[in-house]
This record gives sequence, C-alpha cells and structure tokens, in this order.
Amino acid sequence: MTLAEGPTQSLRLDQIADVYSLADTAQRGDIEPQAGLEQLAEILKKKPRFGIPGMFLGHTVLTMGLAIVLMPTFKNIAACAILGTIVGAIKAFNRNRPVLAVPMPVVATAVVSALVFTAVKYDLPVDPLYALVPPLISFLSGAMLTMGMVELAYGDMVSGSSRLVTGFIQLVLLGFGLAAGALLVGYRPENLVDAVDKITPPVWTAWFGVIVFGIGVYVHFSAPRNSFFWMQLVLLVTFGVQQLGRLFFTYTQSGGFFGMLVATPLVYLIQMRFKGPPAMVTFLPSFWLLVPGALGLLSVKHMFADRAAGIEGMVSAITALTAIALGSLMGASLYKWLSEQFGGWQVQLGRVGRYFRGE
Amino acid sequence: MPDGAALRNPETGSLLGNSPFMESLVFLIVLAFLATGIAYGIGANAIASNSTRLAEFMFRLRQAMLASGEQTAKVELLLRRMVVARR
Repeated sequence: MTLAEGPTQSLRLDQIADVYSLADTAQRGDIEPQAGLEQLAEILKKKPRFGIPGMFLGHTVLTMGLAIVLMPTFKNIAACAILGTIVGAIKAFNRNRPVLAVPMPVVATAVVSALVFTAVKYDLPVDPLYALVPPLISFLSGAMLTMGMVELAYGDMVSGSSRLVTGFIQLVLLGFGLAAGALLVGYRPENLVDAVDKITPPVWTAWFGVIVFGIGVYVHFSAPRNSFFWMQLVLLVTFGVQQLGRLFFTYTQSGGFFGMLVATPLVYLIQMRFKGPPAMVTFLPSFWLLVPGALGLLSVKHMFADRAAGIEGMVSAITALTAIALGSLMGASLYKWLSEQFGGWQVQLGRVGRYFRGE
Repeated sequence: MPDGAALRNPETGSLLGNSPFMESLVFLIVLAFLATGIAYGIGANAIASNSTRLAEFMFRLRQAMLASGEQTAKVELLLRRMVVARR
C-alpha cells in the first residue's frame, strides 16, 4: 500500500483571496497558462501573513471567542484557551504535511478529549460539552456540509453528495477521536453524555465573543489585509440576525436560516459594490460561527453513548444545515434579484434608495 | 514563372513592379513563415504543450477553487469563460 499526496484540503483566507484574484484574471484571458501555473504554485506555497506564532496565537484567540459565545465563565474560557493553544500547536507542527492532514484532526480531538476527561476525573471545573467544541471548531466541516446541501439543491448531485459524505466522514472521525480520548483516560462511552448546568450569560458577552472570534479567525487563517472590518461586519450582522430569528421564532434552528439569508447578499455586496475581499473570505467565518458542524459533532459524540440521543441530535444538525443552506440559496436569489433590478451585477445603492422612495 | 501566370501583370506580363505577385508579397511571406512555424511547432511538440499547459492550469485552478469552498457550477462557469477568453 502506498500513500499519495492528494489535493490541498483547505486553503487559508489570504490564499483564497489570491486564488479568486487569479481566477478573475484568468477568466478575462489576461494571463498565459504557464504564468498562471507559476502564480498558483506561489499562492499555495505562500507563508501565513502572521507567521507560525500568529497561527498559534490566533487559534487560542478564536477558541476563546467561541467559548465566550457559548459559555462565558472564567473557568470555561481558561480551559478553552489552554486546549485551543494545544490544538494550535498541533496544527502549526503539522502544516506542510498533507499526508498527515487526514489523521491530524482525529489525533487533536483525541488529545483534547483525553485532557478534558482527565480534568473531569480529577474534579477540575471543566464542562465537557462546552470545553470540547471551541478548540475543535477549525476542524468542523460545517461549511462543507452546507455547501453540499446547496450543491444538491442546485442539482449538482455528484459534487453535492461527495461534499456531504466527506463532511459527514470528517464528523465521524472527530467523534471517534472524542470517544477514543475519553476511553484512554478510563471513561466509557456512556459518560460522554453529560448533564450540563445551564447559565444565562449577559447579552453583551456573546457580542464581545463574536468580535474576539473574528480577531482570532483573522490572525489564525491569515486573512487578507483589507478584510478585517468586512469580516467583523459580516460576523456581527450574521450573529445579530441569527439571534433575532431565534427571538421571534421558537424553533432554535431557524436562526441559521435568517443569519444566512442576510449574510449571503451582504458578502456579495461587499465584494462587488465596495471592492472588498472575495465573498468566500467573509462568508466562511460566519459558517463557523453558526456552528452546524458543532451540532453534528455533538450528535456523533452522543451516538457513541446513547443511540437515541445521537440520532435526535443528528436530526437537529441536519435541520440546522438545511436551514443554513436554504438561507444561503434564498440569500443568493435575493442578491440576484436586487442586482437585476438595480443594474448589472453591482447593486447600485442610490438606485435602491430611489426605488423604495418611489422616485 | 510561365507567361500568363496568375501572379504576373496581365497586361505587361511583368512579375515585378505593378503585378499581383508584388501586391501579395507580404501575404506570401507571412504564409511561408507561418507554414514553417507550424511545421516546427508540431515537430517540437510546442503547440501541443501549450494546450497541455492550459489544461493543467484549468485543472489546478479548479482544485484550488473547490478547496476554497466554491460551488462546483460556478467553478465550471469560470473555466468555460477562461476558454472562451483565450479563443
């Protein structure tokens, strides 16, 4: 048996921006194939903007941000900061090793799980439910699963189902890592389902958490220079609309639908009208924030312990994914309608205003 | 060239000066160089490798865009535009 190096699994945000810029030049026919190949090779070899320390610290910050959003207690944030730093170190060590990219998330998940359950074993104040997800957020396949749903909705059956299956397998591998880590320190799968003390945090902490998460994403994923403000804007708007959706509709998963309904036209508007970063650069962090992957991971984790709870969780995760995918589809249609109504592919804000004023 | 040849002046019979030969001289030179260029290109495999490079570029760009999370239909549309722009 031989192991071959496959295509790059995922790109950093600065690389994504460069790939889009190159694609834009290529579709105008302004670059020769040889020059394009050389430029693409340079993009793929490009070093992160903030170097290895940035990648490392950025992961700690984004983990802390998500911990603040999910459970803003000092103990939980401190636990997530330590675990996020460990995962960041594993990722930094593993960079430029594509063959190890597949087992690395499982190893990292097992390490995180083993540490969390060791802490629980020695009565340290760690809540597994909230301490396990934030450090692993960058491994979760929420964006892939949602794009798979979008592709299937557009009739791209092969690529859509491939993305869905790949995303699901990633979740299963992570769930396996969680179970393996717990077993390593003497916990049985039954212990993976834990009763959680619910707390009601003040509203401002979640918003603060979103901003911290945005800073962490910017540094860890080496986002392009002009993207910080736009990324924060999209994250805050998506989060705000998600919360509003939850407030007005009792069904929790509806928040994702409304979040994406607004985020999708917003990211295209930023790219087309305001010459901001490519839509995908501002779009991906909002997928991570909406955490469909986290729901899936928790349901897979539960499945190892309690089949019924796991399947129920999986249904919730699928519903959340469907809501987010539907929000993306409707948001894209909304943007298309707006752009067709108000001129070309660029929504002319002045014309929109005049239209609604009836001029 | 024989008398009455198509490239001679039909009235004076001259090949030089005011004749179809002189009028089409530029085209004939272009044709000669083009033919030798194409022959060389085919012989040296240069023409084939240019299209190979384009195919390779399209393949790599497709991979990079899919790794960026882009929708497959949009990537295919972009590649089609790329080919149209190069025609």
